Amino acid sequence: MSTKNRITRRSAFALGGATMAAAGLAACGGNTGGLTGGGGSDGGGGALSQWYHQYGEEGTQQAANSYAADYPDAKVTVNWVTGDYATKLSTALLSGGGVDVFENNGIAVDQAEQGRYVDLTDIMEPAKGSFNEASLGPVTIGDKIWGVPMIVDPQHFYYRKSLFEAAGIEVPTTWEDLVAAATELTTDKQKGLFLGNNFDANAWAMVWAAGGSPLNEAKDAVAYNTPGYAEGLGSIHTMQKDGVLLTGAPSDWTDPAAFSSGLSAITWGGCWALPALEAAHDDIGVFPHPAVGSGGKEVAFMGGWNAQVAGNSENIEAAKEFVKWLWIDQTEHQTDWSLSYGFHIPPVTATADQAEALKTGNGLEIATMAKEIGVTGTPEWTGAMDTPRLDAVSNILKNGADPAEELAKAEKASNEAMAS
Amino acid sequence: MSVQAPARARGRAPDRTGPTRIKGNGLAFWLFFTPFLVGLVVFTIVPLIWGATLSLFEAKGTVLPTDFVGLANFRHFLVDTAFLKSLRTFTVFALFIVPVTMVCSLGLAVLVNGLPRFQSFYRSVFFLPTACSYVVACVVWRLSLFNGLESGIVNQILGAFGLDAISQWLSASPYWWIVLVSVRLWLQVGFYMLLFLAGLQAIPSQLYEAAAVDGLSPGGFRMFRLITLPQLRTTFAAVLLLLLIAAFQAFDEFYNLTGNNPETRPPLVYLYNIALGSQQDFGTGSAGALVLTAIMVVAGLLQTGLLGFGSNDEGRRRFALRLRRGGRSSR
Repeated sequence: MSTKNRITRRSAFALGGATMAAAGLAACGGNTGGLTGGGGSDGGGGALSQWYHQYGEEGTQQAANSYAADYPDAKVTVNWVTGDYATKLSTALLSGGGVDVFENNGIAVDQAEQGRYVDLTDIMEPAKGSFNEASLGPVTIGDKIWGVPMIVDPQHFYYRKSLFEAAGIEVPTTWEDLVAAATELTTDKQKGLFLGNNFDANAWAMVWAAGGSPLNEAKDAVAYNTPGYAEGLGSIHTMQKDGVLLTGAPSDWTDPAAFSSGLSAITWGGCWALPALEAAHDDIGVFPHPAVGSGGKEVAFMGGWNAQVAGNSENIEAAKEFVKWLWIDQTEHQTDWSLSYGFHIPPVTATADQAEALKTGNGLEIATMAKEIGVTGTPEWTGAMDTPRLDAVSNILKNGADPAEELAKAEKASNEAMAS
Repeated sequence: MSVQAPARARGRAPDRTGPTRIKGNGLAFWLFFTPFLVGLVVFTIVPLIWGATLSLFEAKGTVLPTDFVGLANFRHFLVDTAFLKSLRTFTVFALFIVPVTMVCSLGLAVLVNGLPRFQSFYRSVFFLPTACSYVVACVVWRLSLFNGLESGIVNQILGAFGLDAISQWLSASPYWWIVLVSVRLWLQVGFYMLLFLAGLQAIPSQLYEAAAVDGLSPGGFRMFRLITLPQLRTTFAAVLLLLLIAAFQAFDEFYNLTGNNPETRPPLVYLYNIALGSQQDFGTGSAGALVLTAIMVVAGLLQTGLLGFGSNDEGRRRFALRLRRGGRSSR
């Protein structure tokens, strides 16, 4: 090889530099919806990236874009995240992946301690009196508030009134009644009950319905293992074996399609499905999760979404201002977001009180459930504590494992995870 | 820029059997090599070192090491029943998928190899599913083929034979294994068929002619058993190793079809949940990844020694002898 063909040290450095520059440019090309630079001509508040999960209701993405466009103080780019939102968000919050404002349905104390979220107490403190009290539980850790409730989504059962009337069945208030009703309504063409394709859609709400809670009052041990919980989970397995449950449906419980098309007489669902169901049928009814076991109580599980600011945002103050503007100060977009596309309860009490959809019929019943028997998760509940419970539920429901034994093992493992 | 001609483009091939040395323009070499090197360093070597470091530390909710915990993260996996169960899930899955894929891909290769015409057409047809995404295939499997309703395609086929529809394809054993194995089989059988096809076409035709002269009927099963199968031994060993590694790396179909069911949760899904799921425990997750890597390396070495991937029969005999000696000395 001739000397002139051999690479020199200088040309090797030049080549390496060019490669790094190319890699840098390639990285810039990714559409991460991230920060595109602060200040400048976009209003002085900088450019913000706002993340939403993919809502199923038509028109929601356009609405989110229009709210962002209406904000006068910064250029806000909406990133509509499809697929596994929780994992993508988690990774972005960990790595600083271009998210400033985001919605979250599961604030966890460990993630708050790790600095993933910004403390929003200063913007929430003056306004918290105007929020539905139950909506503040999942975003409050001690005396700090980490999120602004955007919507409240009670989960409950839907049923077909005409089928109940034809069979002479009353609306169930106990789990036993519900099992009996589902069994009675099961025919060749229609199953009695849909609890999702994994039969576990109501397994979290059942913790409260069976008289337990995720954590005890002192919050130093888990408290989901109750005799009622074991009894309730065991009976789901029995229903599955007896062919009472709908399984293998093309869509899962969050989508009302399976129930709407008549595949089951009763289903676990969320309030967001109400408009679609009422458009399809004129005999839709709702009832809360019935009491399970002797120590149980009727409950509606209050899911929901909260607006938060990323701890690694480079534009925290501007992000907080935007969250305050959108979800605290003005009410027009809040009402629109809650009631124009699907059906959600606005967490601001005054806004909810003025919503016509919550004053009659099923809307009123759901709002009443949320107000009177709504239960919510707690930020102290972490993924590490939940994994043993989820495994136990799966083993009981799918494999017929002994419920009391499985829950006892899970309780021990959850407590160990809590202590570690 | 001139490219230097190979030193011995014509004439006798060099005697040495080592790897061929790349010769040519130095700038061209670095131009082609640097992107690969950067990719290797950034995406493989640095994460490997980083993961190994994290495995000795607590790293919850952060990819930076916090408290040094020594081997505690590794000890966790020795007693973690969920992880051990995930290894059992992998074993069950491998017991189904490896032999089924081997038999099907060999069968297809033999059939395609024997075609007098349209061989390339059928080769392409069987290879096409390999280009399909696992996620897309899973959606088709879940919503269309193995839909739990009577309208599901497989249920309709069962109905045509007078059998009851199955509603629990993805929620009860053993049905979920049928779905999981069939989707992977469809996606990968074409690739392994190509490997066997290449192996079949490398068998010298003189062997078949000699066997025919010795009385074996051409195309008969004895010819296949006595000539074809032994000649494919190296291909078998390579396919087996690749299939085992692929089974160990199974993730997509389990994640998309059966979710977080502990009965159908292979090791990678379990570790994904620990590190990238709600727990975000990167220390434990990294230790688990290293444990898995160690298992795969041991399995690969054992298989290479026993089946002789890339070695001759003498090498295999020596390996077996060493194993036996090792066993005797340990007693």
